[in-house]
Amino acid sequence: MNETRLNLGLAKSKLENEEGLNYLRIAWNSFGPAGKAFLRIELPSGVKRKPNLSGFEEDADGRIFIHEPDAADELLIEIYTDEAVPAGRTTIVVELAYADAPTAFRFVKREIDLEIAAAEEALDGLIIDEEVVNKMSELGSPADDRNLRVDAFYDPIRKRRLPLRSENPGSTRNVLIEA
Amino acid sequence: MNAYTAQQVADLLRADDPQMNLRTVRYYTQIGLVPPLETIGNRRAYTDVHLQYFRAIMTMSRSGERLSDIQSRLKELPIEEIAKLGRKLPLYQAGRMLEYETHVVDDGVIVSVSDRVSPERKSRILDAVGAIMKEGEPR
Repeated sequence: MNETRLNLGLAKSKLENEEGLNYLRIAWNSFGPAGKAFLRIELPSGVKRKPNLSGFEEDADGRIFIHEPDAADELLIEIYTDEAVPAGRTTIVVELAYADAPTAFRFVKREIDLEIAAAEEALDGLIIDEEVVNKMSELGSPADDRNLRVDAFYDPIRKRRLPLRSENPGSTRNVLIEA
Repeated sequence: MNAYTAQQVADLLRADDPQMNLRTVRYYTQIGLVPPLETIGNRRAYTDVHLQYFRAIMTMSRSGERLSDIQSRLKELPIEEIAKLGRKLPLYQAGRMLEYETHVVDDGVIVSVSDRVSPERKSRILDAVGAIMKEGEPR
């Protein structure tokens, strides 16, 4: 069986420490017929997120459930800051938990770097991930509204989202932890 | 040339659309949806051209276009056309769309009339526009 991998991408390498906006893409390869699978996201202090834009179920603890791992292999999440948080290099951690046997859970953890910067420095040396930006820009069409299952949106102007399929190795670190 | 900060742009745009905010202004700028900022003095600033771009984006977004399509279209349009698109934004406000009734007079004219206009007056407006269109183009 192939190693289960998580790949992470950010639309931008930086996030303004106050009133900043960015998008996180989480992609995975198939991890078989999982009875239970969910993602958990640890954001740096002061960074917030909205419900995922791809229509996956979430619970009150922020766990994102993947009921059909073969039906979709990625999701997008809007992250943002509102009130000022300290600037500096931080990390977003995403953990995938899935059952590969009735009682055995496996965990795959991955991190991606995010620089939190003051607004006046946010453009300096900014790296844009065109793939993530394009996926966000291509999200949705008016016809997709009827399929909305969560109150999520990809930008504050339009309320649109669409299930996505693609793969992006990205430049992140993968850690496999066997439970 | 007027120069604006991102916050000022967000404030100006919020008058057109309460959902517009500083985060979105910055994000659209960073992903290249609007032209690069101008350097004025020793700082980077938005100008009236940027405002026109933002209003055009908001109009096209409201009309159902995806950001990727908006970006492609804006690259092809001269600034006059972009400004023209932006001026149409009020027509796409949800409240306005409910308040205004749109009538297609013919292929060349669409008239939008507020429900505050009495039915009699609306009828006269549409009759007048229809009559003008029937006259044909002056030679």
